[in-house]
Amino acid sequence: MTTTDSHTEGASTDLDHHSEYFRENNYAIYSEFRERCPVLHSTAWDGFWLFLGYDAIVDAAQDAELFGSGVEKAVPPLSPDPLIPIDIDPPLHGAYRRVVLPHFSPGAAQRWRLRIRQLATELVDDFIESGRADIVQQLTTPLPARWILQMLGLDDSRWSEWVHWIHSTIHDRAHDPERAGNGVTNIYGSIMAAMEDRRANGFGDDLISIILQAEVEGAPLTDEQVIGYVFLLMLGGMDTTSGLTGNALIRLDEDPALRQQLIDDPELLGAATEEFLRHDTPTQGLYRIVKRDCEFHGQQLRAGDRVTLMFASGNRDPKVFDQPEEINLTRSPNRHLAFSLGPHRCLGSNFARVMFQEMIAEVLERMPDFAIDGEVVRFEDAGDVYAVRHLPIRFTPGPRRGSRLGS
Amino acid sequence: MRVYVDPERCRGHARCLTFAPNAFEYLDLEDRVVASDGEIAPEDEDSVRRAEQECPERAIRIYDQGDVR
Repeated sequence: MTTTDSHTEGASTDLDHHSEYFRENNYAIYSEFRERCPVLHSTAWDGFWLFLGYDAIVDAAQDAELFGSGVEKAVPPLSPDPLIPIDIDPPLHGAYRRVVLPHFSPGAAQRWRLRIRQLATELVDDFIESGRADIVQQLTTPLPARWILQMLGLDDSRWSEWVHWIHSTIHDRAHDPERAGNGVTNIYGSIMAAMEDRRANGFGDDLISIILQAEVEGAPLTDEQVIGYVFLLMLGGMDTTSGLTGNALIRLDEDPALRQQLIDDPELLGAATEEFLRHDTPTQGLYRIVKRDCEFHGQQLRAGDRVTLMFASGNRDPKVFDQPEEINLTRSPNRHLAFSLGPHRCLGSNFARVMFQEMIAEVLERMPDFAIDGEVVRFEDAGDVYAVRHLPIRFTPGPRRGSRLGS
Repeated sequence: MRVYVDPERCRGHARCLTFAPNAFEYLDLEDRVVASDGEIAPEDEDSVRRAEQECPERAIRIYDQGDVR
């Protein structure tokens, strides 16, 4: 990587957030550039901006008029059609978001909490007697995937197939676009089949039925829009929560005192959730497109410029967070950016918190002495989602528990 | 003490509900929070101040007695 100072554009690099170098050094890169260039230009991918400073990220995320969300924003492109509602600008964005909103409310997430814990218990039952597991493959990946498939009214026993396609879409698109394209094609085809099934056999109370029956500005969504909506719910559901949980489990393995604190006082899990979201943010950044020429935090931006808001960098900004590299369960306030801000605030944030808490609680209750035993494998590409693919652990075997819900 | 949630800034993160569940209410269809009852009981004042501090969008306004609105 090289760095040059041009008198017109300020600092510029050729930093590629999809590279192996970035994956291995992301937090060091953020601290190297953040103070000097909170708004940093890169020549990679035909040019784009990285917003690294907390204030710049907040100002951009809250200003959807200046920083738009059209599908052309992604570096490199992700989906041929807009994902809904993340690729739509206000005011229409709100109308699309409202279609599923009540199903993702804080109350809805609390109503699912027991079912989510039951699912965690069942998944752990499958390996608890053996004393070994790939905890990411056997707990943190299937749980959120099966939850969103259940919400969508799809067969959640097929979770691994969906997850494979979704992972390919996110993590292969920079270095193997053809493979990522295959993932997209499979997702489109399978969602289309589910739509046809509902049209032929009647609607249920699942989210696909709800989206199919919805109207925005007096008209139903087109097939491409329905697919774009369902696709986004899967992208959100299947990658990020597992990423957060895997990242946190690595931290708990490294820090026995932190682990003991959470075992001794499970009430701390709420504060710990926010601190892990800040410190071990799965969604490193999301894109925007500049709508008009402007000066922004000292840099000249031009209409059409692509931007990535690096939430993970803002979350370690020492101007906002005292000793940002440390995990501090009493940190207050903790206004982290893990779910973004502004109109595109993560729709699944309430569920992400509940799923993370129930998975961590299940692990600490049933495998309190777990230790990483083998190679931790991260997804090759961490530019969008910084997440673990394989996390082998060993622990003292325990008994199966079966149902917590009773008969 | 009185509390007000700016509807233009609130984006429904619902963090305030964690700290002061009595003082705020989430509107399911609008993706935002409102103050349940602008007037805060003295025993809830600390938790409401914490909620204001923790709001990621800085959408919560607190008015102490004597403030000009």
